[in-house]
Amino acid sequence: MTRTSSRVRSSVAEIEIGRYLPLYNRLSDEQQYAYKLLLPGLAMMLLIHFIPIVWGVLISVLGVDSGYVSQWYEAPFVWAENYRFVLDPRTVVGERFWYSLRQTVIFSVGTLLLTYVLGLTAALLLNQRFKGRFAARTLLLLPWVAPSVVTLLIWRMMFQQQSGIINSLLLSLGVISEPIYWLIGDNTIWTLILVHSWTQFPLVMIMLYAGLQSIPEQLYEAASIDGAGRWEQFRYITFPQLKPVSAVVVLLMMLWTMINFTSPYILLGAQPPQSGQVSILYIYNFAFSNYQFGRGAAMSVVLFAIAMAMAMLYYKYLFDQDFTEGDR
Amino acid sequence: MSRVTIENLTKVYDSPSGSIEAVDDLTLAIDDGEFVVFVGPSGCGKSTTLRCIAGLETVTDGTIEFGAEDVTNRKPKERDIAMVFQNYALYPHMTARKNMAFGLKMSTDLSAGEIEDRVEETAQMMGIEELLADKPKALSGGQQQRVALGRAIVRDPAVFLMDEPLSNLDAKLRAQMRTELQQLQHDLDVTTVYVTHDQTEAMTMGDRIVVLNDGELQQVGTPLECYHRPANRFVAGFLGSPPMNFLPVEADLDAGALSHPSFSLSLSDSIGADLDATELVMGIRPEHGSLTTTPDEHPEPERLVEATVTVTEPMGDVTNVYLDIGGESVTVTAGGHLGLTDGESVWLYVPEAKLHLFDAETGTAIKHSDEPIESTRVSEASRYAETA
Repeated sequence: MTRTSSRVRSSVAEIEIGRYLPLYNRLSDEQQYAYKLLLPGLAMMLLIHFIPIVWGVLISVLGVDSGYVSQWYEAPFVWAENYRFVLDPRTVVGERFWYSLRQTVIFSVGTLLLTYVLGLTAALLLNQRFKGRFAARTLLLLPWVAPSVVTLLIWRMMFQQQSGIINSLLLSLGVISEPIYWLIGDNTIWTLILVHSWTQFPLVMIMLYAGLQSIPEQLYEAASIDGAGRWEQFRYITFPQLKPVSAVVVLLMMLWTMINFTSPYILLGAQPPQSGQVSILYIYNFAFSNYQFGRGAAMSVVLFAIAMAMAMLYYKYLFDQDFTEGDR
Repeated sequence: MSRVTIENLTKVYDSPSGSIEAVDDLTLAIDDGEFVVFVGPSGCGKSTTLRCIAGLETVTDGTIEFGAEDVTNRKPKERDIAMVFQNYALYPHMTARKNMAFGLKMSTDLSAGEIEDRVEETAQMMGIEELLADKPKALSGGQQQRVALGRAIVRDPAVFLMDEPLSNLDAKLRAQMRTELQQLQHDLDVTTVYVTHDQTEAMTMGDRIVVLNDGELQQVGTPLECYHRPANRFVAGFLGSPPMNFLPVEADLDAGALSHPSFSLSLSDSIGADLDATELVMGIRPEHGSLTTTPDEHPEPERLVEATVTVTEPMGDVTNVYLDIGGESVTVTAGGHLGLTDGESVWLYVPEAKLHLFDAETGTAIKHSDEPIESTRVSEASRYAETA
């Protein structure tokens, strides 16, 4: 142990955790120190993540409805009744919930694909040497840094069937012959993907851009001497070298899109068409307009479980692998 | 295999603070199968020249020809070259096998099986069959180096380009790889351009060395030519360790002598007649000076220069003696252990035949040492020894 760290340690050591947690005393000096450093972060996580999760799970097994809004703790314990109800495809709620899960998957995968393609293209362009690169980077970040409420409301106006600029533009270009309903009917999910991707692609861009910058120039030189053209250099050098950062991007975009509330809510509001009814929006609208908090919580837990399962599987099979190891 | 001809090559880098001339009007012909070493200090333009030959830099002016073909404006992949980089530049996400196969896959129509055979064959030659399944991260520096060389060799290119390929290895491995590379190049008989800042590599590896400084060609010649017949003061000072000693002298043509504030050396008439400058720099290789503590017993006492020993460095086989002559430092490498003490007075003897003289202003060589530069075969050498 170096002198500096022991000095820092003694100042933190005044918190006598051992008195309250006997197990703590069994940890090594170094582990105790690590836990002390983690404490503020853990406390924060407990407060804003863990407690609401436990609370949500608790409510999901209670019959909290309009009668118990202010006294939720007095609601009867109903075991898995809420789950049975929301997952039963024969009930209207169950059928809609399953449908919303399907739409959520389309929303997540669609957004992932679109943000990745847009982000990668933008990152590759930014990685070229040209005048005004800095300005272009700032400009491309705007959709992400601008307040999403503003961006989404503007998109909502632009997508109006009668007055929106998008329809009038497409009409005048002759791409379509009559105005399209973007925010009503079956197109809604695609509009949602488009708009949400617009707000998210700069993040993907900046992550991939950072990844691109860490690829040594010499690999491209070696490849060009080896006879690789521009496409082959992308295919065999750039893309594989971006694998680690892409893995992170894919995971984050999938999960964040699954639980994204802002985009669907602001774009589609409290009365969304079925096609745009992604789970999180459906849960919110269902729970808060019908005062069905127990069932709403059950759906939330299902969504949470799906997201966690995905993340864990992903970690296990993809994220955990070493991208530079050998074949053996 | 091919002959490489470089004519009036100039490379200028434009930067906001002005343009930098990295290579200035370089003309050079490299023979088919020749091993040429570019050597010079950092920033002398040796790597830039190599990169121009590779096609990684666009040439500002001049031409580069491979055989009879002008390749000046061709892309790297159209030049049939292979290059070894200082830090190997292996593809980190590919196994050694795929690293070696990549060039063949990109630039030839060979089937996967044929590529596999050639990779195996080269790996065997390099002794790296065991490493083929590993990715670069799992390999040591020396192993990565071998894979990088293998990747170049498997291509069977017209020209090998090597950019300081040994400088990331430790000293022992570097010496071993030096010999191995020479052997390899000899066996493959492929035109090779090798860049280094290490004069040992330059002296030992190349058929010819090309000495560069400040983007300008200083001298092209065999290692011994450059060492014993340096074209100018830069080459003389750059090659050799410890480096050549330089002392500013004035030629006193009437007296037929070189004079320095603290000594005067007489010159033979034949040398004196060739001098047209009076401000000169005298050069002495450390191994050409000899020391004596008994000047009276020396056969040529008038050619002795008095000096004071400042430091001695016994190296085992030889001893480097640092002398002070009128405030200037001179190094002499003497055989064995001399038992000199610091501060002791000694006399330095330099045979006239071994003296180098340079024009003080231009640095151009005026007189060289008479050391033989033609390689002497062992049998001939022993015959000379018998007759002597």
